[in-house]
Amino acid sequence: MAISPPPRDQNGRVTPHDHPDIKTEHRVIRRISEEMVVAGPKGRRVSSAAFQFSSVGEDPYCGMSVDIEPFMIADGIDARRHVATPQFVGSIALRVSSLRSRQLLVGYDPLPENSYHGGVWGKSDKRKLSRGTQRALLKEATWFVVIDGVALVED
Amino acid sequence: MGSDPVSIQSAMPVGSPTIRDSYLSGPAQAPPAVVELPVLPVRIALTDPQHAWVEPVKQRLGHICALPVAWDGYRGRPTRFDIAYFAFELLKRVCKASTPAPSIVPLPSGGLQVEWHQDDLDIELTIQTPNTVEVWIGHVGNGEEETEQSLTSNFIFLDPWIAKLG
Repeated sequence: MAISPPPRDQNGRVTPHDHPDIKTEHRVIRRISEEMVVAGPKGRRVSSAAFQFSSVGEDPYCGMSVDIEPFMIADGIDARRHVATPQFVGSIALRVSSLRSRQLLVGYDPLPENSYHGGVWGKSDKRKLSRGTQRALLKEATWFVVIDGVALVED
Repeated sequence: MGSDPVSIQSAMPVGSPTIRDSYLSGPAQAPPAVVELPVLPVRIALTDPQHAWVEPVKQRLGHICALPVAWDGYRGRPTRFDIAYFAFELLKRVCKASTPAPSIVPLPSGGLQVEWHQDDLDIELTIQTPNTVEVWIGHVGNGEEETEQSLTSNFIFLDPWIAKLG
């Protein structure tokens, strides 16, 4: 699939953007490690830490990594297999509309080891998601690859 | 280079009373001054508190500090040792004997999040660097309420909330 190249800064880093080939009706996948599972009164569930932006030291633009489902589908890639390789037990799907409706940018940020890698960024200098946004995103997310016995949110 | 080998000899002539001899026999003339020393405890040790949460927390911190790079499926880093150490010191100060062990989640940046979740109380401490603690508390008051605080060196804010756990 021919994908428009993402914008980059003078150091070659992808800058926050809304990629034109990622449509509002598309989904992005966020991998969920077993390390992100916490104990709650009703059982195990995904921590809000699953939706933490990077720190400035790690990424000057403080993005959150995702895999872009439509790009994988267009290339005939088995998305479930891709996001579970090499070591991941689970993943969740998020509608791009859920992210963009909360003033978040969804863009393309290919990596040498993952050409379907994308980024989610806050607009302007917003460098963290509020707990309210984190919880709302978890409520709207669906399991893509389920971790058995783990809830996305507690009822 | 033909220097003589150095010979080290005792300055005390052979057969002279030694310090050990005088110690055993005591001085010949003046009686020794007696100094009363306070009774000391057998030992003074610096140890971690013997609370139930301590060992699980130490094990968990050790685990997340040893995670491989990209543990999150992307480019996540293992938890930084200084952040884990700070988190443990913070918990030693704010946790009570009855406080349940928290869940501890690594962050891709090398930070961590400490969490307790109970029926009517959720506490989350996000630590991205030492002395930078973002606190989120969800609780049942007049309906569901939320409180957020940024703490650096004074953690007294946490006391009443931690006391409600367990």
